[in-house]
Amino acid sequence: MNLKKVILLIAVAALLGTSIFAAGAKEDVSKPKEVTLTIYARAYTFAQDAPWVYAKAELQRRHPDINFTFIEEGFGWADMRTKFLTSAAGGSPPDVMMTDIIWLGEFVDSGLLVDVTDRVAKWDEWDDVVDAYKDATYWNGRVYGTWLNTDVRVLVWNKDLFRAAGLDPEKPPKDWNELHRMAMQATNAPHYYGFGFPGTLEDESVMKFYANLYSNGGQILTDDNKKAAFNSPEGVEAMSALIDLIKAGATPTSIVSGKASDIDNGVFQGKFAMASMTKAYGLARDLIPGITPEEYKNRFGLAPIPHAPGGVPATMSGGYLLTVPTGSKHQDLAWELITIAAGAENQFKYTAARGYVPTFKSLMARGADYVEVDPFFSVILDALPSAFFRPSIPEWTEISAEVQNVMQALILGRMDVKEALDLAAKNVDKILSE
Amino acid sequence: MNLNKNQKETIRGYLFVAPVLLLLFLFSLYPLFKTIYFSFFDIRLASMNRKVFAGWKNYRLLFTRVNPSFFSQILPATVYYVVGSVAGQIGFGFLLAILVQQKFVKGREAIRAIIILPWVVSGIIIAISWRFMYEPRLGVLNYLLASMGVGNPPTWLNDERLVMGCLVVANIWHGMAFSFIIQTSGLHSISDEVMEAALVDGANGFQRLTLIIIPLVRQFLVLNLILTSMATINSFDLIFAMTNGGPMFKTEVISVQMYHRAFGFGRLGEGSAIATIILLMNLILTIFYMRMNKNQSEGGDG
Amino acid sequence: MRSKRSLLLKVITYAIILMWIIFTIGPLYWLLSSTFKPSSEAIGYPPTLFPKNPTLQNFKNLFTASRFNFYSYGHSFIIGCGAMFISLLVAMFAGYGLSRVHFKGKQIVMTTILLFQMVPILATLIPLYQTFSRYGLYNTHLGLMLIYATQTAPMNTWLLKGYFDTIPYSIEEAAQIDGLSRLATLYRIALPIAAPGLSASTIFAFFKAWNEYMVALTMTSTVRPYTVELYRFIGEQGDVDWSLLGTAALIAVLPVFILFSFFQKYFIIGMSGGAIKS
Repeated sequence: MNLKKVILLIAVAALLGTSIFAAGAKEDVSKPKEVTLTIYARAYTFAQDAPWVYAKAELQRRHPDINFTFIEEGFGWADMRTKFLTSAAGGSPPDVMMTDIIWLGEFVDSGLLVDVTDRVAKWDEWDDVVDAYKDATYWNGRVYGTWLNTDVRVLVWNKDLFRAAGLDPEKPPKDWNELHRMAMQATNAPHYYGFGFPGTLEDESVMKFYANLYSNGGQILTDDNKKAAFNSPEGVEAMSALIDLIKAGATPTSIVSGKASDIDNGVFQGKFAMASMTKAYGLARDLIPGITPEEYKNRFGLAPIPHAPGGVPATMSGGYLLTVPTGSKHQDLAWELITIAAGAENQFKYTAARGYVPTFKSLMARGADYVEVDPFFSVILDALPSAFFRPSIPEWTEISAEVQNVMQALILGRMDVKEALDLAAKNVDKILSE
Repeated sequence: MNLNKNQKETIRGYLFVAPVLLLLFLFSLYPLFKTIYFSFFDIRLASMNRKVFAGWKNYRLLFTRVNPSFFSQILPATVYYVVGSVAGQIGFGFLLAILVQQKFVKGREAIRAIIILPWVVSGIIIAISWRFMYEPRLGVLNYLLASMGVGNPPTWLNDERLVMGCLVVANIWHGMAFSFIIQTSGLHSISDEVMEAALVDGANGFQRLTLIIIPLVRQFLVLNLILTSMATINSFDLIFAMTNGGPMFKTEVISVQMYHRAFGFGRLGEGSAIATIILLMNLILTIFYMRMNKNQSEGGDG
Repeated sequence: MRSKRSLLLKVITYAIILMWIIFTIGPLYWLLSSTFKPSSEAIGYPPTLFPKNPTLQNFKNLFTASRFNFYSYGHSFIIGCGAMFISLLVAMFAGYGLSRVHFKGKQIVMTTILLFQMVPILATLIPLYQTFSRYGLYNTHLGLMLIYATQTAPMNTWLLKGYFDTIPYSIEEAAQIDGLSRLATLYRIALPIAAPGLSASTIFAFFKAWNEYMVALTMTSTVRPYTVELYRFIGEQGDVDWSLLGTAALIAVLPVFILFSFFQKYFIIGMSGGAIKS
């Protein structure tokens, strides 16, 4: 009977289907000796020995009885956040998450990160962390991770383009007025431009504005983090300093879709004479394979970000914590991996190679060792006292997006600076009042 | 069990369609219902367990947000993108299908092979190659313009007045092949005698097109319209990788906005509400096309 | 008079076709040419239409120096084939049933299936992710195969139904009188006749899966298909190295072009026979 056959076939298919589902259900309990650790981090951190290659080997050495498998997932900045949130929503987060400091409040408030207060107390390197940085790892009085690195933005200039423009390659601009004048002089459109800053919707874009804002005596939010404060007269001047460069033609409007990495790379590729950035040496080495410290010193320069005329030096800091997500099945091993990866020894290798900033007191004292690797490291260290952090409150991502939005309108000349900042402030106040 | 012949046929019929329905229910309908359910909750990607009933709040947020505004930014962008892409893809697809079909055209197979090529290129790769073309400084477009003596070439993707046009062109490049295939099939279904009869009657090109060919391939055009419109409304990869909605939300079509709210900001409830709106848009469009088709065919028969 | 006009017609026809071919090839050529430029030339101003100093350095860099994972093409291939198989299997049964079996509610079932074509995949992503995590389908080939098959099954069902519709009843009736069961008829009589339609569906299902990006990004960690790998590569390289990026893209496109050139003939024939004659 043919009908029977059809029924039989479908039954078999259905059985097959369900067995596939059933087979997929958890199989982790089998052998405790097999441990898989998943790491979510920025893609570039996997490309060199420190931190992960060293940390993985060391963890394996310490636990000869365990057979480790490491899954390394490298992302860009925005994708890393999205992927982490999605994975947490689906109930399969990684074991180690590289958390941008500005996401801390949001992640902790959502219950995504493991409280490691007790663990850091037992970690012998914790006392070595610089107090200011130690404080930043706290949220509501508890610790949620430790620094992989912090960073600080400095001005980088391309000496070849300075020479071509008849500028003294050893004299960077000191304040906004000098920056404006020199950027104009160094521009040779469309071959290259005097100054570059990113305009896409990302936090790095508005960091350039925030640095100017602090330099001019303003601040992003009020002290209690309840209202916007960036639309002050100081804020208008700070933003205008950037926008005027566009109006003058020293920065192309095409930066509106330029990511920070595009702009930063542009300095080393001769597309921009100047830009403010972090990890300069790391980029230079990525882009110009085999560049020696000597060559680097001859072709590029580092200096503090030009300050407001009559203002104070100011720059922005950020950086990443290594954290353990709450869904991790091997929290102890994950934390152990983190303490190795972000311990002083590894942090030295990592930060020196990329031009990042260490967070340990013992490393701060090793300035000479850093300069041996990165000839401009003293410029970076000198900028630290003038560094500001963005508030890592849960609403930060949405707040900053409002400023990014109006900044694009300003770059394209569609709005007046005051009007734009007021609009953004209005929206930010609304977010903060909810 | 004593079943009569009709009942047996019915069971048999359902057994045949059971696997496809099972697949669709499990991996499309069930998650879809869940999304609609989410759209009425204040729910975040970061904390899915803490959901609070929110009524219509997520829908209200979509329509009242200032930047980007639904009515002055998202909707116009979506309409521009969908209408431009669909019109371009079907228009050129139809035109080229007719031209390539002409008897005197030599090397028809090779021409078709080339025309269809872009269809197998992934959105990510299209984004790479077109961004490369549009690049203001390094792109080939401005290079050609410069060599023709244009002094102040446009910045394409960075110019908020041109960016949507640029995306539509890239999307037509990619999607035209699908329409070309469907329209070619449609033309295949017209017998040569009909075509030739029209020719002998002295019908000129345009009349032939409107009076004979279009009514005969109407079914194919409608099908093409439905499939292409839905695919364009739902599409995401190309814009995401080319402009990510910018600059100034000029290319923030509704699917990109959905992604940004749900995944970028982690507001799953809002994202779900936007997804539901997308679904409604699709539904309305489909009903509209089907109605149009029905009226047309009734009129045509009369 | 008449011949003059037809000559003009010919010229215009060829001109439009030629223009479209240039339009089609242009971006691909630009991609191709950049792969042979040293990266200093690819990012230098002004751009060059032809590589001045053709080099294979980009291929070498991609294979040796970069962290591009070439297994990703393998994952894409496995997932594409699996999705194609599942989609075709269910669409074949459904298409045949809808074409050849008369049953109550058939019209509704047909419309329902088509309506699924309009579900935006992004809208189902989070619930799917939750389900997949729970049942161990996350980061598996099978998981992606099922999602992609779901995406193409409605269209393929309609396509194949249209094809089966064109098979004269008499052939099948003769077969059934010979004592062949319904399934055997499908397998031995209907399928061979519908082969062109089947090949169109095959191509359709495979390339949908091969080219997809967003779902793959969300649903995989280690078995990431090439689209995700490529996107990650863009993120890593930014606009740094157009030529390296172009090379990776070209490697993804080239085998597919070659494969597709062989099958595209069947694709057109297939679509033309089947495409929905309701």
